[in-house]
Amino acid sequence: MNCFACGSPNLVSLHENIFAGVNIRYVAHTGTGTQIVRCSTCGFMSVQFVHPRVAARLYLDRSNQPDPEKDSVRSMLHEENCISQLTSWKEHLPTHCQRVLFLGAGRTIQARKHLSFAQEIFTCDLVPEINAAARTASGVMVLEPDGLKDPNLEETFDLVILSNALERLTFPRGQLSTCARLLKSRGTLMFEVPNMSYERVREGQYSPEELNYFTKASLYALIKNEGNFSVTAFDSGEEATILKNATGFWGKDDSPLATENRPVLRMVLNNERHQVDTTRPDIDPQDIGEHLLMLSFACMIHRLSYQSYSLEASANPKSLLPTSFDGH
Amino acid sequence: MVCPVCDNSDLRPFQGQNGFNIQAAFGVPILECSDCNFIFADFIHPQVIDYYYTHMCRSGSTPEEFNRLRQNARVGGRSQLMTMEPYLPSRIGRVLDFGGGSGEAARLFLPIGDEVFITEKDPHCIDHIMEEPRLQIIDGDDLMHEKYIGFFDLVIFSNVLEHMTYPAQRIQEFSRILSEGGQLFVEIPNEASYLRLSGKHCLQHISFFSLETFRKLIKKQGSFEIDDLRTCGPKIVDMVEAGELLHDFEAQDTPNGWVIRAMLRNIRPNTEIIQSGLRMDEVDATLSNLSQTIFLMNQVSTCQV
Repeated sequence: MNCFACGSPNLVSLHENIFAGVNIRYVAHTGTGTQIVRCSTCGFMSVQFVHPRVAARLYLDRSNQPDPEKDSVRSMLHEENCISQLTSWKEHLPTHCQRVLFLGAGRTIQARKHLSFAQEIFTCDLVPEINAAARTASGVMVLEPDGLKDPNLEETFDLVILSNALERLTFPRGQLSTCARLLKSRGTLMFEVPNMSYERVREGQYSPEELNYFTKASLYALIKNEGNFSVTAFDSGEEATILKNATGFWGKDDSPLATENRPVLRMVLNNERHQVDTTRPDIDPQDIGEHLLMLSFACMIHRLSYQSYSLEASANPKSLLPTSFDGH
Repeated sequence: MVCPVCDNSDLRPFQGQNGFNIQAAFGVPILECSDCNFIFADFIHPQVIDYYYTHMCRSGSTPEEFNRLRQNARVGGRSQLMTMEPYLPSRIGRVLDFGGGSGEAARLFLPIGDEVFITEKDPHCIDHIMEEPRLQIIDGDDLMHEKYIGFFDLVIFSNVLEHMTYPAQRIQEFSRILSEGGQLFVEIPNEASYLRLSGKHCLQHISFFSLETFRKLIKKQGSFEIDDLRTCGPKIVDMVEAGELLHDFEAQDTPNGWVIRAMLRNIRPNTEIIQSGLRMDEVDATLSNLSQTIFLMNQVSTCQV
């Protein structure tokens, strides 16, 4: 299996997971349950494999009740973050911006306020509830994530902003290629991602919604491997740590309301349109066998972990635990 | 996945009495074919199955437990021989007990077979088999060698098929290694009915047959004529009531019994080797299903930690 960022085959388990007979160590990503791998060439870290349909579920399964106080704080922080991003990117914004796409997780509702310089504003949020709310407002065209595949949108955008979305999307190389297809030639792609060191990921300082972990080096490796973009500007900044749970969907959201910050990386890219094949499959056919093996193994490991928790199907309505008896 | 019995691609998650839908050892969803109603576990990678049987299955079994298993296998083997006897010639050439455990059943054929062979993966059982020098151990993978085409006259395939993926290919492999007119004895649990009624299944089983789905499987594979097909052993309703696995080795013909036995004849030998595995059009759905299952199990276990 190759690195989703640089394409190198040198992937290792981040948590030194081992499968040696009955001695199994399996530390998994808190959201998806699959292991995290690290590329020893470019340092990119990501969940080993999660199907896009499952990644979408991360935003559908609201496991806790809405918390109006936290939601209000989160909304304010989303706005602050949008302002901070645009301040940082100000000198690189296109002088003439007909059409802009703002793709985010939980914050596209802010787009109209901050992107008034564009004549047409399209938004696409990973959170269906945000898309539904945005539709009730005027002045923006709301796309569902699948809507980005519409061939009529190709080469129509002057600017695409990925606002803390790239770390939440499966197959980041494919996402950059999608942006390359949507952007006009010489169009601008701006994005922000958390700056996640090896230590931060290993200590679990990520949200269950975040699947990819970038450093400056792995971002450059990803851009080079994707092939359509040149880097116009690179910057670093901060975002409120609470925004890692952009949706506030997860029951274990114990992030403090106090605005503790975490580092982010910001980039401005120019769509050179090198005409790199943007239809490359997200899943390399050569990797399918390994993905199937890894997922199959993870199913067994999670099933074993049930046994060690001694859950009872009847005692826990959410449990999927079957009962069995020892036969042959 | 498509249905391994009828190739239908319209599959639904199996819903038992308690909403049960995950295979107990391998953690994959259990599916049901909307057409033939065959119940089976979703894709399990062959290396994971190998890993399980090499490292985990019976890893903690005590010598007493092995003795009990061997005792049951011996009594069960005698009961099977009684079922087979009306169809067997007085003298059999080469007999193979495929996945024959400790070799208790295979030993019963030593007096009537010219040569008795056995395959078994469990390293504990190999030691037990070697206690009887007349039993010839074969590595199951070696059966793909050309020299075994039409080699055997009787194959015993007892309580193995339910542990395997791609059952049609497994039956096909026996048509290849049996002589024309050679016999295949199959025993499998009548587990679909038990699963529906109780929501339980044997820990390691991944295919859950009924008399109807087994008949359909044999018909689809096409090489074998069914000389005998019956259920025997304890009644399923009694097992459901008892809530545990029962044995009744004397019962040779029990309506809706726990044990399915079949005596098959290889009248249209097929020497083709059919590769088993997912088709390309099944891959995306399988990746998605497994990924989702892990996600859901992870959510539940995260809630419990």
